[in-house]
Amino acid sequence: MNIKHIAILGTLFLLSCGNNEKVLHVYNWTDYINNDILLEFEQKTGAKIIYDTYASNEDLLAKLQIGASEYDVIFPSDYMISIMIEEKLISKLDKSKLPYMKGLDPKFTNLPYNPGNTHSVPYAYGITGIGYNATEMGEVDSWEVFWNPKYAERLLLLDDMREVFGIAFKRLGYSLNDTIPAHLNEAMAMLVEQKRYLKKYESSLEKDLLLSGDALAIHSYSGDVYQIMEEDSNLAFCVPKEGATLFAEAMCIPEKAPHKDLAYEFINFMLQPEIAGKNINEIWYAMPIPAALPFVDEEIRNDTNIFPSPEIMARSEFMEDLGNYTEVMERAWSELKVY
Amino acid sequence: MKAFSEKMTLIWPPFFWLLVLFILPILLILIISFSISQNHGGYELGFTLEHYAHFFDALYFKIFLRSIGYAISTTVLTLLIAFPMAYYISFRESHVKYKLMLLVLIPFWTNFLIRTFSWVNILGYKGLINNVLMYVGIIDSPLILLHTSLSVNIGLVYSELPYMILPILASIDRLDKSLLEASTDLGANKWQTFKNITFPLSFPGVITGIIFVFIPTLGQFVVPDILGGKNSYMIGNVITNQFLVTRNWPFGSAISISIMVLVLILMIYYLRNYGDRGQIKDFI
Repeated sequence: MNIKHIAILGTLFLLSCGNNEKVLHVYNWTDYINNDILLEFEQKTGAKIIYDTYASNEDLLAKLQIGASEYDVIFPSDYMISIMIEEKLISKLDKSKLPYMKGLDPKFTNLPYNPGNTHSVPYAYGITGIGYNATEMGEVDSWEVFWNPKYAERLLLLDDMREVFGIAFKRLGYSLNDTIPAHLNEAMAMLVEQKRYLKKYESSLEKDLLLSGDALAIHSYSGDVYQIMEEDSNLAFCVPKEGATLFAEAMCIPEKAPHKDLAYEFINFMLQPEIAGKNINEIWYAMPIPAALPFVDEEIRNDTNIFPSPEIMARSEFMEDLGNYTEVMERAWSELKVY
Repeated sequence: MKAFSEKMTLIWPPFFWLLVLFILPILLILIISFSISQNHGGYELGFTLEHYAHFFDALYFKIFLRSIGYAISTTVLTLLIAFPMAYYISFRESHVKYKLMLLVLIPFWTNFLIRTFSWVNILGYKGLINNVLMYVGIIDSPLILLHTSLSVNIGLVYSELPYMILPILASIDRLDKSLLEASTDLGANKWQTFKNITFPLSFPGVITGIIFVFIPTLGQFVVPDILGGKNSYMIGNVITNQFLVTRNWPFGSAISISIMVLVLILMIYYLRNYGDRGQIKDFI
């Protein structure tokens, strides 16, 4: 046996080691998990987690549609789950492998985006609202603040069609999922007026711009704003009295996932009350697991913006896929952006 | 015959390069632009002109005109800044010249996105400019500089400036300096020399610079996205949006092709009419 043979055998040995190592590829939103939990899972199972993040449901959809096949666990939002089921991108779940699913709050299972949770396991939920500088603005409790000329050029709305029209629908007293063209026109007129005071539609830097003082009030997601409130005590968050959008992400396993068994193990692990509690303390979003509450910091547990009170839940709604009406709204949205 | 095959061997690498990296992608885009879009971002091969018709409605035309406006203002501003700079640099002694050229190129070592983000810190509400102006006492409360058409123009000019400086510098640099001596000997003053000799001879560089700046600016989407405000949406943003958010690839492709054709027509017209001082005209 000469050196060349040894080299070849050595390489083969290394390659085979690589194949035996357990790997789990997790693809999640930014700032949407407690990293300590990932370490804990690695220690418990001996698997290695490759963790990657995305910034929007559309990015995630695009990746999967182009044929990405490395991801084992993904966290799409409500409406995107329906689309992914329809496009056959996520696999039907074997619930016998997920015993901790029994601990989920029934209010958050069996939602319209996936009746019976055949393809998705509820992860966390939140609500959109207003993040604002309470020192400069006093208390804010209504979407009206975005129509206040006093704050012109220092207001940001999300660059998100459904969320922006949602604000106008809520102010007009309609549903977020309204599909009556006359109502859309009313909302449009209202938003055209709003544009006079708007700085820009922004969906990635809004929190930085609130922190830097460029913006006084931003339209954003509850947990995201709570995460930056830790950095600046002048900031506050409110769920406007007119109502807002509820959103929920769920854990799903892509159809092409290479390590499905480990993916089940991971999802089940995330549902354990103690782990869920640790996670909530870090991400400032609620998880629908009642048994986790004792492990959640009191301040978070009692905050009705994070664990929405029944009253807040009553005036808020989940988004539903609008089907063909989406095109009508997209047209209005393009016009609004150019207006 | 041997000479012919030798020529072919030489032509192959660049031809292959063009075919794979340039012609094939454009052909793909062309095919997709005629395809039928489906729900949730898919498309089906077929033939429809619907996406082209869609682009030529008033809404997108307005954005297109705005993009042309930004491209023109950027080209004019970069030209006004770049010409004196190139002129100054090219008449320095060579060791100074190379140092100055290096200064023009150094920003390229940093990622474009980071350089654009740094303008957020410079122009922001509590940014560098506002802080300095308030400290000096010129203003009492911060100005809104960021997310305006001003900040978009600054960002565009900043990002395109080197592409204007370098070709102009190259053409002034190549100019036979004895012509300038001859002009002085014949009694021309500095302005006359500049007007009749330096400027006309730098024209090919200016044309190249204009093309290098105008076309990329027309397709910009990063600068308006980061530095722009509610009214800074450019055609590049519409295209990125079609590919990444709305996920209507056929429509995005149709816009790209339309713009490519429009720019080509514009360029041919421009070079036919104003490009005759260089040799570019011979190519068309």
